[in-house]
Amino acid sequence: MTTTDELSAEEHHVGDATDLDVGDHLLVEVNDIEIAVYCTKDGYFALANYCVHQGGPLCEGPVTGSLTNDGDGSLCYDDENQVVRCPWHNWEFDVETGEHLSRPQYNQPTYEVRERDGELYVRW
Amino acid sequence: MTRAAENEDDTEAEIDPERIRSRDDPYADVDVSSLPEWWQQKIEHFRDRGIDPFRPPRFADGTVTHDVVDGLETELEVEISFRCKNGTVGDDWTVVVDGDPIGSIGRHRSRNRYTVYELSADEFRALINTTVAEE
Repeated sequence: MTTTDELSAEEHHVGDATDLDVGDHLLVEVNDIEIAVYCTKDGYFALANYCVHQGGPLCEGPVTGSLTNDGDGSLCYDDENQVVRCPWHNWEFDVETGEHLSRPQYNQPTYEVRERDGELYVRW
Repeated sequence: MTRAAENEDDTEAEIDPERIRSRDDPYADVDVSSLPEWWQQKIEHFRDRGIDPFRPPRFADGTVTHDVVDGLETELEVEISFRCKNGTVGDDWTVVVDGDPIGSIGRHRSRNRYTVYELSADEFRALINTTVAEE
């Protein structure tokens, strides 16, 4: 999930875990870099707040479920996979993996999130 | 809070993708090795992750926030950060000092992809100094 070089990675405090319920996200500037930490049913996930497309403020866009093919050719709404949509050009990424929904060659940078003593830290 | 007047700044709805794409690398004519170490590290951080070249966040008057925040943290022995819960475009962010929210600050990503906090450097210094003095 992370692109961090483990040998040089440092932890950066981002906030109190109890401030985030499932469905919430926290935008924070950490050492001049903007990151959003998303709280999903699967845990905490962090994305860079600079869209790989053109540097837009990706994580200030809406978070929704996604449309999936149910196997018989019809689309259904899946609210399990959370997707964030860049407010500049509507590029959409999975908040947990950073993967672009339709262009797999584009991945939004992710950061490892650790929870310790009720506090959240990101690593890079 | 009033958005800083900047001639490059427009609402996101007015952004022309082609115009943005045509903008060049901000470091094309810059000797990167002459920049402060923290700045060089961020350039590398962004480049390693394939995202747009690093543009340091700044205040409304163009002052780079790093120098101001770093100076205040050293002088006052505090930690300063900016954050926003469930933020969307146009929302104010919260200024946090030693973990406590002390006020809000307008903020936006400018058309040329800088994050701009909508106070001048002096206004921001005054906000922090006043807050710390009251404690």
